[in-house]
Amino acid sequence: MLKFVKVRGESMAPTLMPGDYLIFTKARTIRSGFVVLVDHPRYGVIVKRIVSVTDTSMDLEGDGSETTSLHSLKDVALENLRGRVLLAISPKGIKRL
Amino acid sequence: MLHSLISKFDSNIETADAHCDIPCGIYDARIVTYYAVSALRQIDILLSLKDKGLSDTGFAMQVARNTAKKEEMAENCKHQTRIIWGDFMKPKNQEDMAKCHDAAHAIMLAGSAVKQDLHREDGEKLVAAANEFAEIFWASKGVKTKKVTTPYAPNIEVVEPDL
Repeated sequence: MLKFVKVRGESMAPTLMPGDYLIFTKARTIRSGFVVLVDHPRYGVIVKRIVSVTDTSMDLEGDGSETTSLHSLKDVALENLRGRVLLAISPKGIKRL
Repeated sequence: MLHSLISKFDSNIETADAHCDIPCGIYDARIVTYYAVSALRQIDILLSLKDKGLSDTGFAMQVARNTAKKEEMAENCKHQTRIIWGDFMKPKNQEDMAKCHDAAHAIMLAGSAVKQDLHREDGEKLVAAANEFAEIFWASKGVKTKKVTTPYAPNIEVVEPDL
């Protein structure tokens, strides 16, 4: 099932900008490079890119230069994964991720 | 077009954070006093330049460098205050909130005055406001403070945590 979220913040710039709408779905498979929606135990619902993934956890990072450090988004449990972002809808148009 | 259509349902759409400002939990008011003292030091240096016997070129160069640094230090002081005030300070009651707000506002005003002109008293006001802010900050963490004189110019009294 497809769901919408709205981006807040600039850590995924220039890929995603504040105000963009994202369409995401439950991920059947995941791998590094995917942009994902995560229900982080400390930071809440965040959107980041997967840097690396194991059977149980993943390391996340923003695309922007001022993102939260990789250290603080390391070893995020896969059970916190909400879904993979498929499309970003910005005022300029639709972007496939 | 699709974006504007979806935006009509904005209130029903969840938000996902892509924040740069995720708190690291490390807040320390010493950085505010550090920049305040640095700004005052730049004022002192600027006021002493005319007695240094510099060439016209050397004088102009030093004025340009120290003025830029004075403004940078004052702006850093304001910036660090905004971060602590906005992201960390959660005063427990209205009285604390008022004190915190007044101290932060005093830093904004004094910091701007330091940037705009070249009066030592503006720099002293900035350090005093930074000290006031530091006292409120450390009190909010339950840490006692002490007043010490910096062992370097401008040898001014600053508030430090008594750790």
